[in-house]
Amino acid sequence: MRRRISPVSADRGDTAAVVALALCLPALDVVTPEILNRVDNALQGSVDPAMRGRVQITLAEALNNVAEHACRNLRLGAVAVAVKRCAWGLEIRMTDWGRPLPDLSIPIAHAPDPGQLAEGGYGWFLIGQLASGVCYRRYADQNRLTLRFED
Amino acid sequence: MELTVETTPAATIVRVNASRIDAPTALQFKENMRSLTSRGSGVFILDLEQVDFIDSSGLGAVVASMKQLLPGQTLELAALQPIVEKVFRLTRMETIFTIHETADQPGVGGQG
Repeated sequence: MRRRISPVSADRGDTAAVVALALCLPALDVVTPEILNRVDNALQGSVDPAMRGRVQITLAEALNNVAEHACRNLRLGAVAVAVKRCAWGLEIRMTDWGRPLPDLSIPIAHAPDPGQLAEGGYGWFLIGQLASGVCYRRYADQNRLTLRFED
Repeated sequence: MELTVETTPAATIVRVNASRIDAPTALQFKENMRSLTSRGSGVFILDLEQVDFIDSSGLGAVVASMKQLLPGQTLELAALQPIVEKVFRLTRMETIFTIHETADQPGVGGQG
């Protein structure tokens, strides 16, 4: 009798997932609109405009963090984006080869105080508000950020 | 980023002729706003009808545009599109600005 060996890393319960888009482009803020455009084009027709809006804002903030912090002043900075359609919604995985997040964790984002008239510091707050789930992992020299958007 | 200015008796309307105010364009937007508001007084209405997208850098640039006003000047916003409206609402920046449905409504754009 032959024994079937299943791979340890099999994605269980995720068999319905379909990769809508996978790309890798320079991690530069001038490239962010191009990445957002490609993601939006891939979702057009199958994802409603409200969800596409959530994805655009969240992904813009996450990509800008990579361009402005992880890969700032690196000679060769790149970011890979994979968009998966799942039974429960969308999963977007971003990979970059830049510096890790401080303390290897997502910063705690406090709700902005509008009276402060702050000119920044809204990025992680917006990500936390708009994504259903956010997961950060450092693997060897990679940052991996997974954003989940439930329908 | 192109900004065009229309002066009406009630306000100075600044139209943003771009679809995005974002990380690559925020600094230029802020500098253009600085030179536009370097003289004059009264209400400046930023017409965002053509702006489909804003990120936190763009939001910061709009806030900076208000902070760099001279005494006697105020900045109001008009025609927020869905994503722009969402960013302002989530960050509660909508509570800081007077927001009009369109820049040209009576009493705002000088038609009233």
